[in-house]
Amino acid sequence: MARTRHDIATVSLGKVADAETQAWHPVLDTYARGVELMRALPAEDPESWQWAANTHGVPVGTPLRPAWGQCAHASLFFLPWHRAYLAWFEGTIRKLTGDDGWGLPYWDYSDPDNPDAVFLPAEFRVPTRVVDGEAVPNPLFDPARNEGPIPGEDIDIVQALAERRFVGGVPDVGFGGTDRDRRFGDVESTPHNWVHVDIAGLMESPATAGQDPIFWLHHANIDRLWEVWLSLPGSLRLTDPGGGSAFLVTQWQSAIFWFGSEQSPSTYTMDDVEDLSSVKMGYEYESIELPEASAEAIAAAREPVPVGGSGFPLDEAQARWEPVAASFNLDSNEERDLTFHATPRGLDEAPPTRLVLEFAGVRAVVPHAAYVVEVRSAPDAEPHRAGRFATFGLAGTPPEEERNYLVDATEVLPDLVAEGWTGGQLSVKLVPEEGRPDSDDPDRAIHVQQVTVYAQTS
Amino acid sequence: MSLLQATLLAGRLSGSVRSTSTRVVLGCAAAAWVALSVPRPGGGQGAGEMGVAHVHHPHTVPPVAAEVVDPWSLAWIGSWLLMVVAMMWPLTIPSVGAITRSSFRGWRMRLGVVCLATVTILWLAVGLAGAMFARTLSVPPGSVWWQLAFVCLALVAFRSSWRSRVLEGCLRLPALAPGGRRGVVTATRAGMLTWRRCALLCGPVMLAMAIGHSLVLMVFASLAAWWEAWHPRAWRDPVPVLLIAGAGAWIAVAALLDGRIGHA
Repeated sequence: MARTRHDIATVSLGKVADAETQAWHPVLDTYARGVELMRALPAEDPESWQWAANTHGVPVGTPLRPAWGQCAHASLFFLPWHRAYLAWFEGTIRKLTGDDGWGLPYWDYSDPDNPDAVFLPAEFRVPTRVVDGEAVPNPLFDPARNEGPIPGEDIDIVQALAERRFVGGVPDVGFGGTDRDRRFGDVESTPHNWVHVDIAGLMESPATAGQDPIFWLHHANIDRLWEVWLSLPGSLRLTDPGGGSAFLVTQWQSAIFWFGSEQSPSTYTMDDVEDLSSVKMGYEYESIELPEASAEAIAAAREPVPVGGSGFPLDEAQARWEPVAASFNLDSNEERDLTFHATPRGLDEAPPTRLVLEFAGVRAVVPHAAYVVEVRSAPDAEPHRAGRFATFGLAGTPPEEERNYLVDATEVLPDLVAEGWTGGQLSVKLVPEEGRPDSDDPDRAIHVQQVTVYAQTS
Repeated sequence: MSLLQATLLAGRLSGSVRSTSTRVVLGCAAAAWVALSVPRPGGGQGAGEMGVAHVHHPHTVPPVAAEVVDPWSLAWIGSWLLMVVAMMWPLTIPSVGAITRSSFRGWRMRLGVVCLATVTILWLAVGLAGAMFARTLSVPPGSVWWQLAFVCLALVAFRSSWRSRVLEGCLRLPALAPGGRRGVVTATRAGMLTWRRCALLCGPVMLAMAIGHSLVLMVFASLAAWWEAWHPRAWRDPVPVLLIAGAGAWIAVAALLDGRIGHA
């Protein structure tokens, strides 16, 4: 039986006052009851709320079990792992509530036709709700969250959906990931990571995010975006010819995801995961159609499908990139001049067509939620905003946890060249993004083990 | 597998060996396999009769001469290194590829070699330790019981959920510096992580072969390790288990037929 995962906008009461006093749509009522029932179970029970959340990540200091802390972030398996995880979670809610037709709703915060989409759904913002005429605590509520609005730039889906490849290399990542672990795919960077840090509270860290009921709706939307991407003409799946190496394809096709008890886990093969109509998935989305404005923007930004083929094979596409400069041990708010390593191509002779900065081995005890990357063609030149990244994955995790962030600085290349930049050196600085609650907090910082500049010449 | 899938896979495989580093590593591994497969004068394959020494036990009356492994002999070290190149180097291809792609042009080959050298040296150290341990226990070369014990250990390890989790984590490489002293340091770190993954994949079976081995065990162990490396997220995949179990069964049956069980 294919169940429908509804858009939260179509099942929400919309207004906070109504959510506090009126009966909820059955989809949200079942969800709230399911969360309550799961929370009533002890953490050692594989059907408990804590077990489900810990399967994603565990707070620092919690003794680890093999089934816990599995979240596949910054990995090629980010999307399929979370799809299987959601299906397993959905099954638990259905079993505990007895509502066999229930499907997890999704939160489409990027819907340009719905001005309220950027706010947390009303049912998640009220501390109490009415059940059988009585006000009872609302299990979907968490006072630590930001309620919105989420800034438009953070939930812009154009760049992710405009990427034709599911998997890319370093530094040119694909929609779903890269051929090396520890790099975010486009959809994982934006909107996924940004929504996590924007909502904050439990959502701020992968170690606790699964404890927040809004987490599951956020990931349902990310999962839906995968379906949207697949529906776009010219999207190149990993398993399509030219989509990835034999090694990656074999890894992908043989993956099995497992959840629950270590002795008798629920398992999901990649065939199960890739087919929404399979017995183990059995759902469809209310809509995978893009609003007209988004569809047009994505079509305009998408690289055209090459005549007679799918484009460069992955390894050839990567060969066009080259590391040209590197520096080490950079702290946030510290300016660093990177000297370019001479390359046979000579950037002064042929300016790069694209420029990407990688911040690798980033660590933090308490990071700012987001950083802006500033570059200058010379130490005394004007700074240019090359890009930004959200630090999801660094907060609430052990200090030795590392993340890598890629920032595409191609947009500022014309400005740099106009200033007479010849590629000999580049000044780089990471500054906390302004306008956020933690922007001026002097106790927050990140440490970057390695900054690498990648250039692509035609 | 359909004809279409097979054609696609063949195309991807041929595409995968396009890079120079992959070709070099696979070429070295192939040469090592050939060297190990060439029969030696006096019988047996090159790897089967690793550095054997005759040791006299002075406290045994009457004195007897027993054959034990001599890990410090050139024969043992040479055979062991050939085995590492043949079996383990193919497992390093993703790491070496990542290093060369992350390096400045002038450093690509050098940093790839650093990674390979790190893996090889660590395996040499482990092999020496295993052979020294066997020598301390006076385990005779080619001991069936020694080999079966480590094959059983490998089979038990396959059931471990933790092993699966660690294997997934081992796919991650540290930040790779593109050249210079830091490049050497990070390539060494990458080599250490790659070695850890190789050790998890087939450490027990490699130790089983520290006292000499049959080519059959080597082939089955290699196939199991390579298969698992190519299917890192295949939860409780039966293929490598069956390969290792098959190798164990082969050793046991061959020993029974030779009448070696009970004497080894």
